[in-house]
Amino acid sequence: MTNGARIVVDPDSGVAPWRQVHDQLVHLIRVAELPIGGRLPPIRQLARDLGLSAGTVARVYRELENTGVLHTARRNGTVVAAIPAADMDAATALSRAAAAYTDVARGIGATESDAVQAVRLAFARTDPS
Amino acid sequence: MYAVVGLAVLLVLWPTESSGRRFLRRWGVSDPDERQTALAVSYLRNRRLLYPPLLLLGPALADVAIDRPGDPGFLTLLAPVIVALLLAETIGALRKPTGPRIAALTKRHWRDLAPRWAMATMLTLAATAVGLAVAGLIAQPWANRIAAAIPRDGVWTYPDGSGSWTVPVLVLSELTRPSSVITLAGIAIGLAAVLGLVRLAVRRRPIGDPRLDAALRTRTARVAVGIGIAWMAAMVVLANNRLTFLRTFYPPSEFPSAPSWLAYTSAGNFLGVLLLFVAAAGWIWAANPPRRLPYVEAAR
Repeated sequence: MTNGARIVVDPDSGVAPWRQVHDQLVHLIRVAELPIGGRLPPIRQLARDLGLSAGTVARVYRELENTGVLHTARRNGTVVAAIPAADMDAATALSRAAAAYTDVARGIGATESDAVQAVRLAFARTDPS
Repeated sequence: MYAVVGLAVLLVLWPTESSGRRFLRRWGVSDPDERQTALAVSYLRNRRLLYPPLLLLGPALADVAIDRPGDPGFLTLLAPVIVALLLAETIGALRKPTGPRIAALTKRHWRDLAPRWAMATMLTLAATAVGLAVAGLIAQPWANRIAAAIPRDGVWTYPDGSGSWTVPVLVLSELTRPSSVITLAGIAIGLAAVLGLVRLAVRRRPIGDPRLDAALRTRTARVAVGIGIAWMAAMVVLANNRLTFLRTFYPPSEFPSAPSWLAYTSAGNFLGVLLLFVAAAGWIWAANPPRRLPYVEAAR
């Protein structure tokens, strides 16, 4: 049964479609239009309805899963798992920076522990205390 | 004749602003605005414009395959409606979206659009038709043996020359006619069209705002299943007519006797009236909007 929440994507707005979908989902969850436990449509349905590629919508779902806002289980599909915190933008920024850093680390053949060690060293070097 | 009927249907059903508004109110959009009305008129027009050419084409194809005296001719009227719906939905599904796109954040399922009882009725009728058509197929070798033993002119002479038995040429050709295969093909095509339409109603891109979209999806799915019920009832009648024909064909005792089980298929004779009722009731209940349309009402 529909909950009435909806997403509008304007391809002429100048904002990337995935960003429009992402931001509107975050907003709908924050204002409780999408409650915790609420089910989201399958990626392919949402992509078809919005005229986007499935990969674009999958990216949004993945990003929100990485930040704990959404949870995908085979049986229940994708559900809202948590309300994005007020500082979620910072968390998202951190998540994105981490993803970019991971890409660089993988690109030069570094292992996960090498990459984490490098982050710790960087924190230690720049520690104000 | 069919072209005239098609044009008359088109004239009578040609959607106008007021009929579009009325249509939307029936399907759960209580106070349609101008944009919603325009989209509804275009939805109806796209489908109804296809009626005249399809009404012309339908009987020509049906003459070749299904329709003949004694068979339910309304198949040739049902087919254009379902093909028009199918074509329009397919075009709608393939059309590239322009401008802002709106998506409701709810998983859509066919159960939201078409009633389960209607789908179950259609599938039960289809299964019944398949059963009767398969019985016709099983009896077909006997009919072929009889036909092979009768000369082409239909006049068969008793071996002792004491007289002859005449079979009308039309009856002779009917004996070998692959009616059961045609019925099975009709069932398969009908099922594919109806289930394909329901799938398209679930999957196609949205039209307009969520409420209008929900109303149009629901209407497409319900009309498709309504036609499906009537179509499958017609298929049961076709398959039963074949069995009746074989059962009531009495060759002289010199010919191979009919399979004994064929006599029991006479129980299917009461099906005609019953199925007429089922087809009519199914069409009315499934293809018309019920008092409450929860899926449409919940969309906003």
